[in-house]
Amino acid sequence: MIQYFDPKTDSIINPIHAQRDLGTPEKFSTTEITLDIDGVSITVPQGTSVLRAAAILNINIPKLCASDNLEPFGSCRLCMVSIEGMRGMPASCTTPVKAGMKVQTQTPALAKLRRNVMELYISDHPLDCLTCPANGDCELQDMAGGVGLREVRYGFSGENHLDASTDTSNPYFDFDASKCIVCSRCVRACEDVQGTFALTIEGRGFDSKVVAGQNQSFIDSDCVSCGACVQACPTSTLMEKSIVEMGQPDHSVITTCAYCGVGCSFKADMQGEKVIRMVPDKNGQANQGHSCVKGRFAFGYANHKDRITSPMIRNSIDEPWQKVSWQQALDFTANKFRSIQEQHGRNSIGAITSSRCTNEETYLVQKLVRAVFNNNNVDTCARVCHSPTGYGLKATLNESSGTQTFQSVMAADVILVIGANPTDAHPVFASMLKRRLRQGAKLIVVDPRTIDLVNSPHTKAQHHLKLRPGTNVALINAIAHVIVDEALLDNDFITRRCNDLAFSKWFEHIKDARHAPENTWQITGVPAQEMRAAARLYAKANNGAIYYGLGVTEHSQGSSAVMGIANLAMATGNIGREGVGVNPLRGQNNVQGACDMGSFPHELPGYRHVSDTTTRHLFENAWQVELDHEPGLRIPNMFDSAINGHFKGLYCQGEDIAQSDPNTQHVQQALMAMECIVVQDLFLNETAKYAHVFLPGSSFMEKNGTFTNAERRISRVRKLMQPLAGKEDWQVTVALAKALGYEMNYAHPSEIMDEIAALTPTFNGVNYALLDKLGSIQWPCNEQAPEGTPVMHISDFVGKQGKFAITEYVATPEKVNKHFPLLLTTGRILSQYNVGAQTRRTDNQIWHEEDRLEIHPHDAEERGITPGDWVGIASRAGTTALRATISKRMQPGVVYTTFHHPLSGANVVTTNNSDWATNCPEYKVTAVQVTQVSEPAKWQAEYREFTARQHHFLNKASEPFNDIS
Amino acid sequence: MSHSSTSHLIEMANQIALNLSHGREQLECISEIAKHIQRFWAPSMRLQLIALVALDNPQIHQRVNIAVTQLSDYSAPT
Repeated sequence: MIQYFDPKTDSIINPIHAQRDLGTPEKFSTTEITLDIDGVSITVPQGTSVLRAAAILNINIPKLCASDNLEPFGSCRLCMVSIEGMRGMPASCTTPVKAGMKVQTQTPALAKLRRNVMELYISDHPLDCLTCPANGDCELQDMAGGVGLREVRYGFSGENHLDASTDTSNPYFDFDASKCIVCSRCVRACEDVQGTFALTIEGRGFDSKVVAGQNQSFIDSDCVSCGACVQACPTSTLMEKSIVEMGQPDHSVITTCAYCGVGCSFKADMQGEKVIRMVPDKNGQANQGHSCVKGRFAFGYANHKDRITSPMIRNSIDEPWQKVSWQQALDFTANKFRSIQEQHGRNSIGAITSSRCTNEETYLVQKLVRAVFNNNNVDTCARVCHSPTGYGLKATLNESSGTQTFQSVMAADVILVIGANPTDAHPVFASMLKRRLRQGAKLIVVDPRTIDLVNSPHTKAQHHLKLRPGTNVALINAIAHVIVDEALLDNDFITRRCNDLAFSKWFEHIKDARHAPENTWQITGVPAQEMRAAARLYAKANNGAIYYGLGVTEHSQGSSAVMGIANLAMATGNIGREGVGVNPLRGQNNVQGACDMGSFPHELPGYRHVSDTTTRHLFENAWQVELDHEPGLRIPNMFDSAINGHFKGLYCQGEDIAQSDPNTQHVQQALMAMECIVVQDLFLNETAKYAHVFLPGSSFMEKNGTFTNAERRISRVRKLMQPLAGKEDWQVTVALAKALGYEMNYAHPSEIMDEIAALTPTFNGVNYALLDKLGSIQWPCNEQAPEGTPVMHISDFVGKQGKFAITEYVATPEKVNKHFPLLLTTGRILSQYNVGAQTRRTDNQIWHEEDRLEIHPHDAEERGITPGDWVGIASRAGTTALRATISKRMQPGVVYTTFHHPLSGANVVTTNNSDWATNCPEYKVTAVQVTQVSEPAKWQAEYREFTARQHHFLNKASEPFNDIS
Repeated sequence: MSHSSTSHLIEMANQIALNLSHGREQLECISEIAKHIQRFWAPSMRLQLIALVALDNPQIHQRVNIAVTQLSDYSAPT
């Protein structure tokens, strides 16, 4: 049954669940306490503060230094109350409720004291309310008004801080010290919420002031610009520059971030159609009111001057673009695609979907390919990142997804992070992880580099297994061997939950001495003792949780490593409850969603193989077409096929294969061999320079839909402004289908979700009304789990048993030799996002203007390289040049770079080696030589020339003859 | 078919064979190689591989040679 969602009732201002600040954090306890506040009775969990209990009753006791995402501090002395039987006037923020307590929040004595407190605050505070950026949203104003302050008897001629200067060094917010009331909310936010500890209070008494770092400017300190302090600040001291410029918002809409796989929920503060600020939504289930520099501040790219808003076409990439109407562009595309198929067969075209796009949009692209192109040549960016997760977890745990929520880390005792760098790539989750570590959980990090997480303020990894790139499976097998060898198996779990035969085969295989740490250290470089200690730590934990990322998957044995990880979790019984599990840190905002939506050559939505007749008939009936039952081409196969002359047309939505896929020269060759490349994107990205049709896309702020994060959490994306090019991305796909002769009739994306729900068992219960009601839903959501599934595999593995998989270490074919003696591995940095198309067009450039090659001092010295030198990096695939950074966090024999800038050409150097099961590229292991150079590499010179030409063609784009849209 | 894409195809097939070789009997291994290729490779790629095997390409892993005979696209030479 299709449930209709009425767009008229989806008001722009979604019922913003209470964004009210309840004073102190929520406490959880099975013991309930009943007390009396101002004569009203309330029952709350033990541990709740009196302040919070009152706030729940809508009795808002005045407060300045308390905030409900921070532990109470008790410094402002405003929240004092009168409690029967207690002496004096205790601060309600630091007073936990007690059974039978009788609290009075207002008395003449309290009122007088509060006025006195405010009087002191205001005696050292500028009185420019009417022109202050916080006018209308200032807790100091609220409190002064609330306590009835009428005069400041001290006068204003004494010593004060009114001439303190403003630190404007951060590109997104100002620190105006003259307005600071030293409540230390910012300091505590940086500690408790973010975990960076960049701020402190320096000095005492009257001289106390907030400083960043060692009394540095914000930009020079350790500040990561997450904005938690700005959010926490009750005055105008820490204020977004956009608010300073434009004033207060007039309305707000809740939406979901389009950057990483945490999928933070944001409150978009707007003036008319303009987004002036993004504030983390405190009710966001993934982020709980926190965010990082990207989602919080770096949204300006949507209005950047590089934004293209007109469809364009051209016959060859050696010609300027022609601006045309939508209809002209779509007809041109349809004609080209049809004629290519007529000439070269129906398998000669295909599409690539985007993790930038919503579930509904990705669903439509795979529908377009299957129902209209009549083939299965559809693939997605997951190919190059977590496709091994899909394969590996399906093979072992029977479902292609992670098993927990992010919140689950707060119940973990031992955390094993393999091939992931969460403080850079999943910052909000990393903050939660660090909080858990500060509470006492233990940490094991497996990474060839000493990532920040290994040694962070107040947290340190118990074990850092600094292995050689490409040896993950040997390491994971060694850990498994120790678990078997030292009898650390959870036999009860294995017997109850796992397939006997598979387990005994695995057991026989892994117990062999060749897997012992004493023998594998020669492969991995990790000393046997360390390995054994780490294995014991994980295996003996009450709750052991594994988190992993692309350092596991982007390898020639990526799928094997994933299966190995699942083996470890099953072997130790660490599945099916809070605090444990197998957690793939999906990188992108909707890569999980793109996979769920079946934008794979071999799977229909819901991870069902195209050869499965029952599933195929279901879709054939719904779509009224016959569907191909054979798998289609994966992205790397599309390139090979293009070079062979068989694959000629590509519809590429929101993916920049020319920058993000490995072996750039190979990709360029493939693109130039095609006849019709259609790029749907916001900017002229690298792939668009090789395209024949440009369809202007819409950012996440310009459409309705849903994203699914790494927790399988489906959240709403809400339209904040009209799409700049006139169409939301899903409407473009619908229009393209129509031009090709297939009608898709949807009035609103909610109808697309209804169709998905009707056809996909794990999504059966999902609809927009339920999403509004619950805020977000973790699939599976169906009859068995009507409100979704936070933790998976609680009693069985999707109705079946878990299967141990045999994973033998097979060394990568990518070998070092005397010509290429070093191993290059790649990664990401906090301020830039993937290929940088979005973040390079924001002020985040200030933190990472160029990619650098990180090299260990020993290797640098051997080559005469000093910091900042230009170095050439050569591999069997190609050569590029970068400037060098010398760093001890590398190990001798291993170099590292990021890939955020196209000119860096990081992928010119990476090869076509890929995972055996999924073809996920082995980005993490490339044999290279590094030498000092005096000029950029040949590829870079060619790139500059080519780019200049393509920009010239864009600038010369002629206007349409007539404006028919 | 270009030389590099031929060798790439063979590399991919050999990789599958290597990774499915352990903890399994020979026949089981060959069957799994065939199933993997059947399930994940497009028909055009499977046909290319069959053609390469038919040419007795020495680069191809022995088990792949046998596995292709189990593919649905395979027809025994007359």
